[in-house]
Amino acid sequence: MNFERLYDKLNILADAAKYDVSCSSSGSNRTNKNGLGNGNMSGICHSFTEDGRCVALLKILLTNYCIYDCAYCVSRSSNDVERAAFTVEEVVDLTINFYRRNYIEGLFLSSGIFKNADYTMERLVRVAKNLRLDHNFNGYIHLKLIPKASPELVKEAGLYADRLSINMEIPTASGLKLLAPEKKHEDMIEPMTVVRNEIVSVKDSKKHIKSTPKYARAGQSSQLIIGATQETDWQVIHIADRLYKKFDLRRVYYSGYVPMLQDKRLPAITAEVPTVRENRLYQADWLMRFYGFQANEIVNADQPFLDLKVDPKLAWAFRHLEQFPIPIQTAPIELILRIPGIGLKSARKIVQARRFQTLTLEHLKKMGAAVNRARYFMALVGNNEYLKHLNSASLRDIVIQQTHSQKHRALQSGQLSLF
Amino acid sequence: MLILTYDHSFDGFLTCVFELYAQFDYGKTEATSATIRKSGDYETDLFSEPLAISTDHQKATRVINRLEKLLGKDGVTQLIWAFLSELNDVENCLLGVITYAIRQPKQNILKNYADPHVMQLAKLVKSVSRERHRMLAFVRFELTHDGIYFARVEPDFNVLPLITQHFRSRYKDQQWAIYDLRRSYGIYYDLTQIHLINDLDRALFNNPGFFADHEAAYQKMWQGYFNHVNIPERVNPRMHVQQLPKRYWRYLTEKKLK
Repeated sequence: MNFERLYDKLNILADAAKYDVSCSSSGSNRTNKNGLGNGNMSGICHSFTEDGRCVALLKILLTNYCIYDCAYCVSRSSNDVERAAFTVEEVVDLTINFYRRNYIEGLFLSSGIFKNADYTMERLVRVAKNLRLDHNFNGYIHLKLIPKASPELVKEAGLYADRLSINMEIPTASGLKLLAPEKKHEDMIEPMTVVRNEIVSVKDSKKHIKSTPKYARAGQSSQLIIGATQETDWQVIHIADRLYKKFDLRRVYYSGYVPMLQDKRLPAITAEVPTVRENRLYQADWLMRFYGFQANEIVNADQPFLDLKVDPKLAWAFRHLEQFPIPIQTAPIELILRIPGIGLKSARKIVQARRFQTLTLEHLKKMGAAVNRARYFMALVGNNEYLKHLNSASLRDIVIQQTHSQKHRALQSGQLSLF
Repeated sequence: MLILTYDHSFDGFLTCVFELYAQFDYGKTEATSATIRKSGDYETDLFSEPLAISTDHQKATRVINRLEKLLGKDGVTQLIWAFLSELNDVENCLLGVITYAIRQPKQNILKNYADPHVMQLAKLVKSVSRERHRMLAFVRFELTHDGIYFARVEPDFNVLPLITQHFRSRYKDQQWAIYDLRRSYGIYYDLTQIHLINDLDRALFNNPGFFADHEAAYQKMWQGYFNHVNIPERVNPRMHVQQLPKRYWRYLTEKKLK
């Protein structure tokens, strides 16, 4: 093997793949029968890059040659970048050797589109098939679906991959038309529909025929690019909500646009990466998936943008003071989850512990709740002196001032954790 | 104040618990205060003479069986995980939880997060579980000339017993070993079973001939990959170090050359 050439290719094709932010390696319970690797249901992040993102998978393009010229994409045909292409064997060898050294959970393979959609898709499937059948590899495989790929290939991909994904990229149809005139949202929706139907039908036939092979056991995901066009947060959340409800997606990723290309249709190359907005969108996404919030409770036509200063749950609380205070000792968990500063884990601890005794702010603090925010919104069995601010005009200022100073400083300098 | 000492083993600790109840009427009178410490680990105190308890597996098993009835298998697992933290006063926390469980046999006391010992146990379990998860992630195997994928680690807590099964089911068709340099022991899988290894010669790793021919090439490729998936416009050193604390860098292939 020519390691020098492989090293160069790897660098080029990792560079080209990194703007896809999906890194999840969760959702696979694939077992290992005397071969190599298995799935880990909650996923494992094996490393973290200097930009603070997790490295769980070998995330590469098969090639960055591409016939398309999408303005937002670093591999667009008119961009002057170094091009390279892996052979199937090279990808297989890298995956296995990295996996054996415990660098990765598996492979995330995407590709620029060469010749046509099916030609490309067929090669992606071939890599996965080779790993599974020829090398008895049971680690995680995430395959990208190619827009306009034929349903047969999409179906075959899910037999070998744990997760499939196709990126919507630009949240609005008009934005996509402007930046990628060769693509339509329907081109992405079609493969997504095939996958959804296949997952449902395999689940169905598994009820009758137990040996039906599992299909895309870690489901499918998608990505939306934020800030490349003039979309509102409402449009973003709305489309994410539809993807979750209609296609049963496991995850929607939000990728703040990194200005790297000169194009009059795009934000200036000096524009900042919208990291704070991206973070607020993830928080909103979490509210929809885990906290029982409806999309239109978070943003709506009247209020199309998220408040960048406070998290969306706190923002909702400020708009709905009539819902507070929530009695911590008796309220159902759905309402406890509405209290700003109380997350899923502390909510669960609260409803367990309150059966034993009356809870105080001190207890909540020890359980890990952000009491400095939560105390303004909840009623205790005893007196809660902080409730006097609930109907005061300065509540917002008081709460924001009390918010953890370190996090606040981080927020102001734009240094935010994704989750 | 009664001080019992034991030989650092979990069974030893359980034997102490047994003796407290069997010999010293612990828990019957409110006034009995007792503490269990690792032998050689307690501060000498003028007024209390530590009593060395020798480990008795039968007694330990009796305590375990009782605890399983009180706390469930999962509850006992939590006690073991917390114990592996090897922290100085972990015995105090465990004894607090055990006493509480024996006093309230009808309640699932592990759910009472408002109790200080229960909450402390939950925190210890979380810390150990985080370290365990980090080891699943940060172990880096290097292929030796003999065809063994070998990793060196220095975990904060004694988590090798908690990661063995994970690596065993994942890497069935390769020989591998994970060696804890801080505690001078390791586990080795020879394609059939797990063996304990002890007191390895550290000079071994300094000999370049110890590793396979292509090992350096794959390490270099991983380093190249690691640097190229980074987006420089988004660098966030604070978060980077938070997620990848520096004490792990020494054995992380992608960080060790820096």
